[in-house]
Amino acid sequence: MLNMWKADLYRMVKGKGFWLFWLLTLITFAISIGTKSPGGISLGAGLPDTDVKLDVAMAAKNYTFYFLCLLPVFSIVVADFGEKTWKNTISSVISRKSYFISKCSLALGYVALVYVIANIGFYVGNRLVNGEEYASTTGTFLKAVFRQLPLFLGVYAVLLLLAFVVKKAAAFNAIVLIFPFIYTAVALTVYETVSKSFAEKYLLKYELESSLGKLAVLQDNLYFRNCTILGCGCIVVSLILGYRIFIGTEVE
Amino acid sequence: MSNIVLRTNKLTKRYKKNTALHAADMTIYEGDIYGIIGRNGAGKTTLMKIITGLTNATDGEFELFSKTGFAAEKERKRIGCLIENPAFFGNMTAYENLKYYAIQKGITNAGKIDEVLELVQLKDARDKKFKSFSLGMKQRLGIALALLDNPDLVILDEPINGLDPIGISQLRDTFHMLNKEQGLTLMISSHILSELYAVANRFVFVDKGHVIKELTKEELDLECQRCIVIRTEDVQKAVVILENQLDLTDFKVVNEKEIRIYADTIPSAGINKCMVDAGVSVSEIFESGITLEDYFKSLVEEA
Repeated sequence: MLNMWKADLYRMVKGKGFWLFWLLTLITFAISIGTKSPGGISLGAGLPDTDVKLDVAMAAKNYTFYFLCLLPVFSIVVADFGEKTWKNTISSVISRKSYFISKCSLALGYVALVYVIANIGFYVGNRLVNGEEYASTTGTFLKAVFRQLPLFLGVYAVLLLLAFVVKKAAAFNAIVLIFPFIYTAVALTVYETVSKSFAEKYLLKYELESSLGKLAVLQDNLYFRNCTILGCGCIVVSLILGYRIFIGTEVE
Repeated sequence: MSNIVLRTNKLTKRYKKNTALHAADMTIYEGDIYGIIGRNGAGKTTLMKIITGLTNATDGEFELFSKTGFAAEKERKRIGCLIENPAFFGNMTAYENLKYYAIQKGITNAGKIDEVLELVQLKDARDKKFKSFSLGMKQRLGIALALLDNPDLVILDEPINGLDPIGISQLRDTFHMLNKEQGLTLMISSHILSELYAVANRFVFVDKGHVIKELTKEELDLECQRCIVIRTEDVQKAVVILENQLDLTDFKVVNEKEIRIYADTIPSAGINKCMVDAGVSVSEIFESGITLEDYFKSLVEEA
């Protein structure tokens, strides 16, 4: 398992995705710190109007990482299927079970790690450049980030399931990039045409961008609990389902 | 007899209505270069895929290094393989690709990668990206990966695909060298019979998912050697005549109706006359001797 992780990390740093992730992250952070206003990729979900400092407001924009973290996940899992190199590993290195555990643990572990490290990086950079006036206490900031983590990892577990099911790089990319737009479009259509309350209570309430925003800035423990249960549920279901599917997969 | 490296027992693979492999039985001994001969779609790759865990058998089992079931799966670490097309990361060089797998396999000897690259004549291309490789170079890199961690059994599916004649010859020498010097056991499939014949010492013929025949190179030579074939209802009496009257010893009783005479000292007409004079009814007598291709065709037709 350790050798598998080492090998994937070796390959990851050889690829463009690893450097692109940090480059885009740094550019986003630099602009936000420089302009003293939070920024990132947004589909337009409204954030709660609360009085928070720049670092927490930036954490509320962590939806950007939905797109940025695709790069390492692509490198760890999808590229292996896209190039069909996974057959080299399962035929003479480790079993399918170990392969699945190794890939999923590294992908989710790596995503969690860079999510936290990047956010802490912003916190430190912002504090150094803009000073106390724009910085929260360390505890407040970390709480904002860690409250988002279970849901974020839940979504990434679903993406991993998708990677193990479709096994084609182009198809995976197309689905994960389009999915947020389709989800939003469906939620809004349901809101307008089918059931306003259902859309508000479930679809729009737990849409990833707005969820990450609310988890960062609101102190709503019930909402946090629901998001955590949802995230953990996604992780458990996706991993079990992904394993079952992967074990029976034929190498084409 | 050497140790058994791999033995399959009624190995079967069905894809919906199509049976790709039907109750295949075969045995590979330590030190063998085992050639699997069959047409496209005969079941060669399916057999290899089952052994290497790329697909699961529908029925039957196999014994790998004397282990079966889950324990056999663990023994796959002792296998190096190249199944179908070689697959590597296009944006990484030959060296980086092998380094990736060396890390996976826990190989700490950094020189091992250059060693296998040299073995497959790819040392000059070590820093070239895989995506720029020709088909032959890709094939060689696949073989290099199969040899990377000094495996005990190497399984190669159509390894000479895309190689030029010199490349094929070099690879043949490499296989022989690894087999002789390191005692490596190889399982190689091909539909190019002459090439497989030049490398292997034991053969299995596969057609339409069935194992038709398993034999050694000596047995195959005998089957294909020029000879006089006598078909008679009284093989025992014919043998006595061959030994006592014609003083022949270089012959083989193939079955209860057929004898093959490999000595070329007496023409078939003379043998026939002796048989008839002694009252042995000869239904057929003819000169035979077939190429490997013809032998394979005859096996397939019989099956």
